[in-house]
Amino acid sequence: MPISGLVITFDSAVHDQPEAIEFLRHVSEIEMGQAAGNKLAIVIESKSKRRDQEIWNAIRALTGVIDLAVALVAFDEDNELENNNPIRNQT
Amino acid sequence: MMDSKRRRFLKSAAMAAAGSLVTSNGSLPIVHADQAVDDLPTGDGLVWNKAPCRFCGTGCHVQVGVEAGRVVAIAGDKAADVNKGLLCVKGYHVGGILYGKDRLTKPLLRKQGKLTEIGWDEAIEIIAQRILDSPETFAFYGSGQWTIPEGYAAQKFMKGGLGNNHIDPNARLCMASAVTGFIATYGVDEPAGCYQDLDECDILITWGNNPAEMHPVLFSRVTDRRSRGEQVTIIDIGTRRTRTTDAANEYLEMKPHGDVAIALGIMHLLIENDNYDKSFVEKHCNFRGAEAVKPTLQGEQISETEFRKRIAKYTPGHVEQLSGIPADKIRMLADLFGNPGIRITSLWCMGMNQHTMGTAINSLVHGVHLLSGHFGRPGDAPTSLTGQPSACGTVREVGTLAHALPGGRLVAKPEHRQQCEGYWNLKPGSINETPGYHTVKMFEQFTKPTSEGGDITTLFVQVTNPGQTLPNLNALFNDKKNLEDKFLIVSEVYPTATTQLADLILPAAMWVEKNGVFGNSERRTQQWFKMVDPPGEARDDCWMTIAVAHKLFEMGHEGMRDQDGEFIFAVKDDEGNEIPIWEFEHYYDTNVDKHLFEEYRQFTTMKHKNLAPYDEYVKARGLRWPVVEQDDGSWRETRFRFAAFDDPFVSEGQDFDFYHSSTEDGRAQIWFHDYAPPPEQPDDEFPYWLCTGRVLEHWHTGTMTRRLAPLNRAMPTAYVEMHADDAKAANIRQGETVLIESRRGSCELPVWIDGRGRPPRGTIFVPFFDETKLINRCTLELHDPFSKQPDYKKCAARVVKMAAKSVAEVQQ
Amino acid sequence: MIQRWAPIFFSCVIAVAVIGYFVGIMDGVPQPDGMDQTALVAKFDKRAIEANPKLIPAVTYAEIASTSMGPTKTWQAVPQTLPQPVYDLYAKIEPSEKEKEASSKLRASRRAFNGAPPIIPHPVENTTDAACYACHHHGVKMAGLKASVMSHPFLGNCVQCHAPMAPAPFQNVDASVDSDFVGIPAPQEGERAYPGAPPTIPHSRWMRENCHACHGGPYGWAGLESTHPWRTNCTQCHAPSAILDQMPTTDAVPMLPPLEVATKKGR
Repeated sequence: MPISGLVITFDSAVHDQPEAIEFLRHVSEIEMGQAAGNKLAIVIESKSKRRDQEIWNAIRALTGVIDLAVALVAFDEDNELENNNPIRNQT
Repeated sequence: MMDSKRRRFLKSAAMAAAGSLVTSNGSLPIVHADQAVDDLPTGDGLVWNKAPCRFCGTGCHVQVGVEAGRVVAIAGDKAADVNKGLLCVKGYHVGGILYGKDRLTKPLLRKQGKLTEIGWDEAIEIIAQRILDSPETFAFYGSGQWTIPEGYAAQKFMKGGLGNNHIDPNARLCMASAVTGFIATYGVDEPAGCYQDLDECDILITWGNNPAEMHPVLFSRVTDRRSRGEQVTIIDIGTRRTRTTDAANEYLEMKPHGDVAIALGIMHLLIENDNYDKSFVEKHCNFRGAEAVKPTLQGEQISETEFRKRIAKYTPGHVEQLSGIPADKIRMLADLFGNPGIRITSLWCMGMNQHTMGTAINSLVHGVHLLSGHFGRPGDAPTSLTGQPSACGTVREVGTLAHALPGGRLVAKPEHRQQCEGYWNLKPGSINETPGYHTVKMFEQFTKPTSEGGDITTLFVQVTNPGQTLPNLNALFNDKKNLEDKFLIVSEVYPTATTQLADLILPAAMWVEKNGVFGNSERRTQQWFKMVDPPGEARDDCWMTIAVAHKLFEMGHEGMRDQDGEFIFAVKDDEGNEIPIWEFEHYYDTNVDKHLFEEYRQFTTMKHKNLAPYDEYVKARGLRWPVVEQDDGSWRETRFRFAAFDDPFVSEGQDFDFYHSSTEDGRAQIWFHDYAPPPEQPDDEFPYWLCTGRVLEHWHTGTMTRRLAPLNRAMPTAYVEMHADDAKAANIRQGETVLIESRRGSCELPVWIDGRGRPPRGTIFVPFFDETKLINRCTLELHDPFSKQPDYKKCAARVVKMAAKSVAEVQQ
Repeated sequence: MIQRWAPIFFSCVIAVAVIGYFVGIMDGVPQPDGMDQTALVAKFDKRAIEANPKLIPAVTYAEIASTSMGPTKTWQAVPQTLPQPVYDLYAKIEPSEKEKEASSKLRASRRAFNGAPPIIPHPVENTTDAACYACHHHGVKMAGLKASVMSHPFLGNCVQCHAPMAPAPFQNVDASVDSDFVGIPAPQEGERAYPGAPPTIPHSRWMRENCHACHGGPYGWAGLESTHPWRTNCTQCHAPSAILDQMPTTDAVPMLPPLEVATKKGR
């Protein structure tokens, strides 16, 4: 279950991109965060790497998107221990 | 599933990271998440104690951190001479092996095909009754992971108590050829040198060996010397490129079985160039060859002239033909051995042992070292490594093999039987004079219907997983499925391929859940104490053996009492009252390990493998035998055997003394064995060489390491390594699942092209750790004639593209 | 056949001989114009050549030996130093508890227990120690990610202790493990003898010889950093633990017997 934090850079200010925002809203795996200028932070939480890749490709293909940068990828797969809370050593 | 809290954390982390980039132009992500603390270990009540690592034969010591009855941390033991504080990725995570969620915790009996929980009393009674009903058709299959007391108890129970020699260990599959090589050469088993050789050699030759992955702590002990500015040349002789090759100065890629030719080629050149060590050979060696008819380990004496005559045909050109190694590289090796000024250590493990000429190649490599005089000085050593933590201690020294008795004795020798009967206070004649079945034979007899002469009906397996490790599994193990009258008892910690066919499963305590003693590859005997309780009703293997013995004693089996009528495992307290150690609640009323060890210690002096008292091992990070008491009452270990400067048993005035020489003249034997081609070779139908082995992250059948998240994630599946050109020719892509087939069976595996190891064209490699992908269905059970150890390293196989297969099947 | 080709062959031989004769009587070897002048290209605008790195200035034969040849600057794959943030050794550092917590969590997620070698959060295959060393020797920051600095001296065979992610072809294989193992957490902080005293080192120093790997420098862990990264001799002030460092320990600290002071009564 990959979780990635991404930064989308548009060719103009974020509020001038209603179509792209509408698309992002429609994809249930995407959560939108802070926006500043022509940059928008999003988090993708998808079922598989393949799905992650699909969403990634779709966003890059959107009109107005000039760059898609990775901020953080959760490398850990879903093989963690049930009883562990996050502060514990995980693996 | 990833727990939801963790996912929330990761998401918030991801969002924070992305957000911070949006606002600040690229500083490090700032991660926020709520902290939850409950009653988990804090490190405040941590107690550290020493134990040898549970995995391989290197014998690293770890410090085990225990808090509130659970192992919570592991550290490399800085006081340990073997590893000096360092461990490998398996060792650092060894604490987790106790905590897989599917630990077996209750005895399970198969009733009408279904496993049902039963009590321990019932389980022990079932075993005892089956043995009582038919004592000769009972067999005990043990392990190089048995502790020394466990193996000793099993040995005494079988050979002394039952007069039944059908006891053999999995080490038969692992280092039996090393044993026969040592015995044929020196008249006594186990390496003369020790790990110090690795610190002092100028040249390290790895013969079909990949210590970078299999004995990483020892290998980095060599490569870290380079970091310190020392010069060490590593020469890797192998059939595929490995991580060891990456660190090697020279890689010599040989054809399977080429090692025999290479060793012969080196000896031939040493003699032809007249630069062998004449004085060493004259003073300390004989020449030996196999008998023409019925060859034995003893062989027959041949003259040096005869040796020269026989070896004459192994010219560099001929060796190149046989081994695929260029003639000038053979000359290079011979020149190195011909140089007395440098120190050469040879390392080997399964490549030379799992070999249909295992005894021959082991003897020949010893011969190369003896002939060239590269022997006995620190750094000059032929060193065989072991794969299991106590293959040396429990199997080779305690002698838990079908033909052996403790302390290097043999069942075939009347005086040895008598000595054992004496130590055990048994009636003369209690021990059977006929060797029992070796592993392959034992399983053949177990999986053969009784009506067809399969005369093993009850098999007790402890601390090993033959359902995954036997060669040719379909013939030697899986056939058991259809045999109603065969009864398989398995003592295990987790469900395995073996428990799948078990009729009775016994939950076992493991590692620091019990007391133990291991013996590693360099003759080092290592002790540890129980630190945590086993889960549920899991119990010690040693207790199981004693409990079954006592049940038989109660049932009136004569063998379970000694000449004075006492129980053969009787342990008494200071007042002389017997402690009922067969009742588990009283097992730890005393240290049973210590009683068994002190009894076993008496056996060790005959072959000069003297052990110190148990309490000395408590104090030490292991001691290398022979351990001899000094005048001041201290105990001194021996690093270099047979060499006068270190071995106390070398006769006065000698610089070397092979005091157990098979020729009884203090000399070692330099053997000649003719090269013979491998019994099964690739052909049109099965065009690939199939080699099997291990990977760094997993240990043997993965029962333990596949329950450790960091290791399993690093190597989640078995695979088949293929050369890129072979894959291309067969239209096979990276990661594609293919079918590997041999004449004996098949196995589906994903392909890894240019993977961790890189086999040449025409060779494939498969690791055997994955219980869902059993490559041993394909391997060959043909074995060395002396050691009976099968060859897992070479057989003929083919790679079938899955889609192609289904089309073919549709067409049929 | 031979007869038909023979006249052509001989006429060629004669032609070559005639040309050779006339060349031979000339004054030395024939010289094309301009050979003794500088190369043609030198006549071009030097500034234009310098401005366009794709232009290769031609040189005279005499200059060849001293001229570096090979691919142009733009083509050359010269390893470029990655732009790294400027690090100010003397910048005021105020470690924040929040950052410390976050760093601790990320560190914990990469270890089975405190003291275990961290896993490698990326696949590692077909590579060498040198490749690990390239990023992890001095540390690298890039795209919001950080390559940690090695906390111990160089040791060979990195993957001997550090388990990587699954090899590329097997990244999608389910590697889940059901385990009850719970390791000890990282210590929160060292003890202080009194407020303001330098804290003791709450962890083993084994494999953590380089304090700055975590506690300072540009690649340390946020929240764990030292407030005084310019100081280099850490144990001058911060005492390690003999137990954690596996030093020989005794139950009682051996001391000389107390002084025998005669009392008045005894006199």
